[in-house]
Amino acid sequence: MLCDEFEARLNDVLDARQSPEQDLELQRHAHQCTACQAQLHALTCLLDGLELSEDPPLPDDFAWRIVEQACQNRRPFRPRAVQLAALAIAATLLLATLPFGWVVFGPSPQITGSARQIDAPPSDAVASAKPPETSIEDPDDSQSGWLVPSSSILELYPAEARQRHREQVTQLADDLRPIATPFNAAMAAIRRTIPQRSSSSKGQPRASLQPHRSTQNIS
Amino acid sequence: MTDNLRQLIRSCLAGDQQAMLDLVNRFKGQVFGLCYRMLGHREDAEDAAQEAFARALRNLHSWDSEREFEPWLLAIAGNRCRTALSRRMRRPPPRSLNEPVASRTPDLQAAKQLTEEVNLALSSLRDQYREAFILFHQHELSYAEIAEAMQCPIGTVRTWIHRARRELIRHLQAREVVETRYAV
Repeated sequence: MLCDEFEARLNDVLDARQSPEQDLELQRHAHQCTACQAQLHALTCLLDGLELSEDPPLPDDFAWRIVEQACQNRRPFRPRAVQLAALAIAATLLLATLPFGWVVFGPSPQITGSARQIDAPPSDAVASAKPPETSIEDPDDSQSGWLVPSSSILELYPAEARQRHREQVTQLADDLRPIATPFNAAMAAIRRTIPQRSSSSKGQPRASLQPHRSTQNIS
Repeated sequence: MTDNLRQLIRSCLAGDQQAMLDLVNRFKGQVFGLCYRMLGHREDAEDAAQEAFARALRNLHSWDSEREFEPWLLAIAGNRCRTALSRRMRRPPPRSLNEPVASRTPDLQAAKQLTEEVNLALSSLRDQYREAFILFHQHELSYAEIAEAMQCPIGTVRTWIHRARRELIRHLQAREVVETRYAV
């Protein structure tokens, strides 16, 4: 055996969890080669040291502290599918209501800058929309922005604009109608991914040993 | 894996605190041993072991019952140790491992010196080498189990362990531990 082969064989013997001292080839070469003999002795020394070393004792309440910590931080098991479904519903509702919110609260061509400034509507429209006895004078008019008292909104909301917005909302509802069917289908698909739980196990920790890698990661 | 352990884990999943205590007591030696060898510091090892157990108990439902439990648990402990080591990089270096060591040999002083030298040599290794070496030689995990625990190929584990042996031997020779013990 050559010195190059010695280390490889030593590793093979250790990998097989056998003792190098019982391997005749290793012993034979070690008796002939001082360097390999030193290597073998160092390894024996290392393994002896590993066997002799003992870990310091743990405190008596070590296990109890862990259980206490684990139970304190224990959260009810919620599959990721449920969380994703909830997020999807929230996002869809937000997207669906966004156009309505834009129509109702967004900047209108009738109202710019201050809520009280009306951009040159036709004179007959102004006459029909503005009640003669209502006073809308306000010294802080320029700073009020969109925060207009609700009683004033109708005064600033001419009938023509109201009619146009109503048509826009109707049009939007017509536009959304074709989306409703695929949306319902998508929601049904999401519902099918949510695992069914029996009423008896509701609120209890999951007692199954089945893996749930797809739904919960190790943090 | 024994049915007894399966039953114990099933009870833990059902929220049985006594079962959790039994599970921790059953594996605390292995987990703390790994953390202690990895971190070389008793308090840090205790913290890492505690954190590893707490995480394991919280995530028991994600453990694949088709696989061995111990490699899974030791993988969590190894991750905690690596996190602690990376956190330690930003702090001043800790004092060296100098805990009192019990000995079964009559020559207490020599045994203590030897274990200290071995621990010192272990602390000089790269983290991956040390973890793989300890898992193989102290926890007697197979290469496949270590590869699973460390999330790397078996060939890589084999290389790390062989390199760890070579470096440890060189370290002990450089420290003249071998000469004083064996007088080669």
